[in-house]
Amino acid sequence: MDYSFQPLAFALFVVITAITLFISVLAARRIRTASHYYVAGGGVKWFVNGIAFAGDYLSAASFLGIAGLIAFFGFDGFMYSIGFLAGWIVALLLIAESFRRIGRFTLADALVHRFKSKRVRLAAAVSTLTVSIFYLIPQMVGAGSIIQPLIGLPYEVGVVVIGAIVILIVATAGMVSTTYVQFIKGFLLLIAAFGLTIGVLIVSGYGPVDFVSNIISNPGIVTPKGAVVSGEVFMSPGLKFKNPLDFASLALALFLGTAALPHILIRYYTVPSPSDARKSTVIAIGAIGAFYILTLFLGLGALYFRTFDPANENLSAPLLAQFIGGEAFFALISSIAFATILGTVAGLLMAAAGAIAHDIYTEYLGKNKRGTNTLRISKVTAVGVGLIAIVLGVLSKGQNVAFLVGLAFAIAASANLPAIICVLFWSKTSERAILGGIVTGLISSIALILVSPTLIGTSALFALNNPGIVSIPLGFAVTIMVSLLDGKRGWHAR
Amino acid sequence: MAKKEVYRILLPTDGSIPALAATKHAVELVKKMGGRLIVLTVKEPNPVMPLERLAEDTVLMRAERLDGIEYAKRLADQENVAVELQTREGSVAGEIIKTAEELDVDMIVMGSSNPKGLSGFFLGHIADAVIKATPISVTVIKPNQKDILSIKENVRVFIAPTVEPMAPRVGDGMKFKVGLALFFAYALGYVGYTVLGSFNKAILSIRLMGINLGLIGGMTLIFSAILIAVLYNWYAGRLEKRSGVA
Repeated sequence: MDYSFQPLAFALFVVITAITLFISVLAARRIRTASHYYVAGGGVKWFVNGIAFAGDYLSAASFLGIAGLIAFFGFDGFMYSIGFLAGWIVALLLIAESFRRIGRFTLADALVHRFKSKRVRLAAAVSTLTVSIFYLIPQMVGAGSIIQPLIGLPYEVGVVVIGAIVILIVATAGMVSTTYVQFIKGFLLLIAAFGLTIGVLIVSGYGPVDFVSNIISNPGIVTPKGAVVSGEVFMSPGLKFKNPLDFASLALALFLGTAALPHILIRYYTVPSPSDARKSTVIAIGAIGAFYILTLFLGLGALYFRTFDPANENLSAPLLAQFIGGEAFFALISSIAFATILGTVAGLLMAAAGAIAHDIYTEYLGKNKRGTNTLRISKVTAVGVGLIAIVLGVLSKGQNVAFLVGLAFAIAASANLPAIICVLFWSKTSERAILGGIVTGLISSIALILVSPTLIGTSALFALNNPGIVSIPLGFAVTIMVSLLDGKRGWHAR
Repeated sequence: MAKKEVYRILLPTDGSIPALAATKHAVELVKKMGGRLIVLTVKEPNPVMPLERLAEDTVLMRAERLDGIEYAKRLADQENVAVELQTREGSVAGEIIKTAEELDVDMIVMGSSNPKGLSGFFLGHIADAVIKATPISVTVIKPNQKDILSIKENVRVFIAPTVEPMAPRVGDGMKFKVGLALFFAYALGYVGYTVLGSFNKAILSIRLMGINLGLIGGMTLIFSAILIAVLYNWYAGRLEKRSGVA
């Protein structure tokens, strides 16, 4: 598809983005300097935090990626929606309250609370950094994608320009207050998805069930890739995941990945008590669940009105907005997509910066604890990690952002979840086991991605695109077995 | 309002260096005038990430993570000044003004970190906001470089010990068991659905209610996640209320 510069849409995009940022800053400031007394009990914290969770979590992958996957692959795309939400059940029922109870700053803080082990801290920091970078790549891909139809810039330029702007905002402002950016973005995203869904239903003239039913009954759907399939086939598993294990591997990674994502976990430290951690998770599940139901209509809407770019799955939702509401709506959706990317990048850079500045610099190397240097290192880390993500983002051109995020989930689930679960719930866990589990999960998941069809095509040494089904059980197995062995040798820490 | 007998000074403090400078000033003032020192800290309802907290602390010169109330209390005790401690939660400026009016104080003494540039824009100026909105006299203390150094030297003894995180109380009681049961129930549904999607696609293609079993199952998983979350939260909240644990 050819895209040219759209002045009106671009101007609107800039204005809406500026207003969003300004309101975010103002909201955080108002809380401190408002002179009237309003009732602001503990409830504010968990409610704001809950919506901010949704803001952190619903990244470009959920908004741009899933809509694209559903438009291109029907049911297989919807599986992402189901899995992305299901992971929150693990977070709520197993992790949230306990994690809040034992940690203070980073994922590593929670893992070392029993062993006071520097090696575990280092491993957790490296794992945090790795997952953050893998999660940042799709955000950059999303950034490059939305800028294309807005300004007509090539994808690569889009990634660099938008990526640089986002990093700049985070490194200067983001270190002061991102929660309200996440909060406002979370709300905007819900409103956008709701508005688009209403638009799809009104323009198509169907009710929600009839709309889907109509697509299933269609005897010949021409998919964006040009194939012709019946609606029944399109809305059944198998269009994207030819290998059944690919479907299962993804499902496992999404389910177990959420509660192991470092940028989600550190948000638990913003609320004062474990019960607040639980309540904010419930708010998050409500908001995120509602959003994922709507993704079905965004994706199928893009298919129905044929508003997709065969070369870029990630543009299905913005192009759908352009079709339904013209340039203004397109600009609105694009700026919400931008806010989405900005918010998630902020959370990820914060997690990465915490790993370097707090875990490695302050705790592992035992350097300055006063703050000024730590803060400087955080900002340098944010910029450095951001630059790496930009480069990898340029290299990942053409990939679906939800697929890329699925890889980050697999790494997080393989490296972090066994450690978190065992530290929390199993008294026999040993220090060496945690270390071994993190290293095994990290290395195996990345190695399998490197030899997967995504990277080396048909000559792949590993048949699945998502490593989860192998690397997650491997991470758990190593953690458990080393613990048992150490137990036999009487090597328990205490 | 009846004339009160004692002179009262309100000292809002967050443990920052300007607040500590103000504390010293306020204690001296009360000692000279006689009367009572009211020390107030306001907890902000803003959820803040650890790193954001660090950035904020640096800008506002709270680098020592000091307990401002503890410092004020010791200083007041040292000088034999009557002191009263208050903790509130909400808008920082708003709570300061509210407390000042409720307790009918004669003067507010507070420090100003005077954050400049972007930081000032992001964090706002509490002292400015208080001065604008209250009819009460406000003395704002702005420490100079010399004050800052001398305070940093003097407060070392007051640095609050870092609190060790509480040991996990996992597996205790009904709540965890209920959570675990709900988790396994949900996981079972999710795994079943995944296995069907992987190995028995025909079942998910069965048409039902105009759509197909795959979509109905997926929607059910999404809705039941929300339902489980709400129910579990309701149950856990009830347990907490009963046992009085917040």
